[in-house]
Amino acid sequence: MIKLKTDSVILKFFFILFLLLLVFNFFAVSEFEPFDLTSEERISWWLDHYRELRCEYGLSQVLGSFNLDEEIYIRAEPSGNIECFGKNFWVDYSPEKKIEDGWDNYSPKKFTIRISTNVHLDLLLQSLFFLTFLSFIPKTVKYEFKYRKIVILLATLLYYLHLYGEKAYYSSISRDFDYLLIVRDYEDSISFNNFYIYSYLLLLVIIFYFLLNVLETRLQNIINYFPFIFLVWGTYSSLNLNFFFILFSIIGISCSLNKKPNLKFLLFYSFLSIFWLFNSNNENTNFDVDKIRGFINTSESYGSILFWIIVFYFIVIGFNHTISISRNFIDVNLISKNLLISSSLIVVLGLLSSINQIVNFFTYYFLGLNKTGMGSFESIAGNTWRGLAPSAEGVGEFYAFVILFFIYNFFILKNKMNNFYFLLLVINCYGLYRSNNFAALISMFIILILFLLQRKIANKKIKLLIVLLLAIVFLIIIFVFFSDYSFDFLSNIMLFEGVMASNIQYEFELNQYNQSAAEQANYGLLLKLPDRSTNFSTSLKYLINSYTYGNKISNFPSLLSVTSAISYFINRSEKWGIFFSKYNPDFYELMFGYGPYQLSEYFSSHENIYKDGLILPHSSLLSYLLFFGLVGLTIIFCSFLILIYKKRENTYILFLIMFLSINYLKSDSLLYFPNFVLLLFVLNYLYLKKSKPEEIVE
Amino acid sequence: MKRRIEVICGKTDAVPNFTEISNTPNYVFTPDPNFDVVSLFDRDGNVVNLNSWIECAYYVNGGWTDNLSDFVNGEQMLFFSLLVFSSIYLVGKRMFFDRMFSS
Repeated sequence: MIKLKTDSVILKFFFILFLLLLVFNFFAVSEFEPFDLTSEERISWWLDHYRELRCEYGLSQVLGSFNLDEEIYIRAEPSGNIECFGKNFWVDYSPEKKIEDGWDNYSPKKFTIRISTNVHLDLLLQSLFFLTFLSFIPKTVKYEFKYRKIVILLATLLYYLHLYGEKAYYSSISRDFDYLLIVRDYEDSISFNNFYIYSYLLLLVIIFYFLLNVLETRLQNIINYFPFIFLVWGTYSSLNLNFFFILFSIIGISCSLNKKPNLKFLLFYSFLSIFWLFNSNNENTNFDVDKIRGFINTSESYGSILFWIIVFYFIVIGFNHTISISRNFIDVNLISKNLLISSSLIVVLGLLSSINQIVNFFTYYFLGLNKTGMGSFESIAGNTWRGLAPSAEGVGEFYAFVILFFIYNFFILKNKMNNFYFLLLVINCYGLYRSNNFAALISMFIILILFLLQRKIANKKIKLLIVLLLAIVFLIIIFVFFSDYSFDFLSNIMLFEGVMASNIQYEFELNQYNQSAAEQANYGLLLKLPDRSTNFSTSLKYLINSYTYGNKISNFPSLLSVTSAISYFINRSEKWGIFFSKYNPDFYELMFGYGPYQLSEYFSSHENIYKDGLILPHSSLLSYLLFFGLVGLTIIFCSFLILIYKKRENTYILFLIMFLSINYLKSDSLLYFPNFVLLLFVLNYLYLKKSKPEEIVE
Repeated sequence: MKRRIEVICGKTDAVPNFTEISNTPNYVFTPDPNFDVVSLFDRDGNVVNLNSWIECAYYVNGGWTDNLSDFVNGEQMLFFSLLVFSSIYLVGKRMFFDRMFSS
């Protein structure tokens, strides 16, 4: 019999890649000779041509039409129509500009070519590509998805709710957007012509169908390949959705139909959900989610909040279920190797995409990145180079985690690895160096010391003594390095930044140095001013009050002062100050939060001087305070402690959790889906581990 | 069509009666000074400037638009293409592949 299908994954991959490049008109040849953009007049002519003839030329035709020596950027434009997909949408031009403080230095001319993409075609083509990636995972034992049709139906309804809930976002990128299945016209006639929603729903059904097909033979092996979601992010170019988040939510739906839920958890979560829904403003806002797109709510509507409540539950349930059924298939050595391959590919592709803008665009599109990779090999402000990842912090943590996991696998578990993986380790170290994540580096070294102590020293007392000694040395170093700063300065720097970020309307009398009471940090006076003049958020006002009048123990710093001092040394005083100037909860919001992945209400509820742009809290702890409030955080924290206590013998995994926890205090990583999955993986891995020591101390 | 009218002409509480307008040969649209003039075109490239919401709605209902891509319903094409391909796949799978691989 003729073999109708190929088993070669590489061949499949290149075939799909070729098809997708074809869709982008990538092989179309320009009908014009390359145009020499030597004068402003010629540039103007060229710009007019491509602006007026929108939707006429493919990417390669536009690129081939002018001198490629100029600095170009290629960006996706999600508001394109289906028939314009992959064609020119707009061309931006920034002429040479004198660089500030430079004598005669000019920034180069810059062209930004915007290429049309479209919600429906992105959903189709990117899913096709992600499904192909998923099909690379080797097959294992078949897992039977029960009630498959019901799962597909429920998942489709859930993602219909997403479109309905976030209508402000989708209508902003498509003028044909309409969520109604049956449209009633002016003359009360009913029509079934809303093909926007019909094709969206049909696409979902098709994607879910193939997803379940691909998953049923690979589900129990998927955890071994989870590191690749740091490479293939799976975020759709024009939707606020992520492919892997859809994957785990579907598994969650399937699992919920088959297994009895944890009633206590479900009841508590339902109670919180009711609060979140009642607390919502029910406004169809369109919050600009920028680089955290795909894993954050854009709206404050009931529909969107309900969607994120349900989907968050299903993702967590789905991931837990996946890892519990994969128990016998989890191969730590394979995971470690995949972590190394994934992190090295991130570095290599990051370098390639910074050198070539075409690679930059296609890696963004096909890998489903949240943000286009760095357009330059040089580091940006803060000396960080994030490569393909949307956040240098998040990817830096990942690189450091890869190194720690490698050490755990190679030195502790004694699994074999060949020289190739050592080369990958070097590439990974280079990525960590370029990400310039100092906190990840320091915390990695601390964990390495703990690894070493745990491995080499059996006596608990000696171990404790060494840890104490090291802690004292560390504190002395900090003291020596930072003794130039006064305690007064360090203890209030975070609040000072918060006050500076507040939208204060009061006309202060200035002192002889032209400083206002706010600039002098005269909190006593600021607290006496009416609220409408200071515009302090409730959280900032509470903290200032607590700082000024709260601490009654003399010669002992308050928790707030310590936090402020730490925030200064880890470069977070400004960011956390801005956070507190914005965070304006009432009592119930403080207790229960705004809901899972709901940042919109936090941003819109109180104004500070930063009105534009996405300024994140720069701490996953603060982000989760926004989502789940103090009650939610306490429960999460207690669950953590119980888990850690129960599994206290698995010391090395606890060290890995410690590493992640330290970093999450100062980074927004948990707002990115891959980092969230990494945390879920480590926690579930610890949970599944049998309570016995992992190693025999030499 | 209601959605497109709202996008191009804006939202209003008025309920237009397009049948009545079509059936009145000498129907005259009264210009609305508060309405921002909207320019529409048809497939042949004819351009018309409209001075009231009802006039705008009537023309949009008649197939005129302010956006070239409105002449092609990409979503409709995609929907039917997907439907056809899915049907072919399902029928083909049941009749051809399943039988071939089971033998």
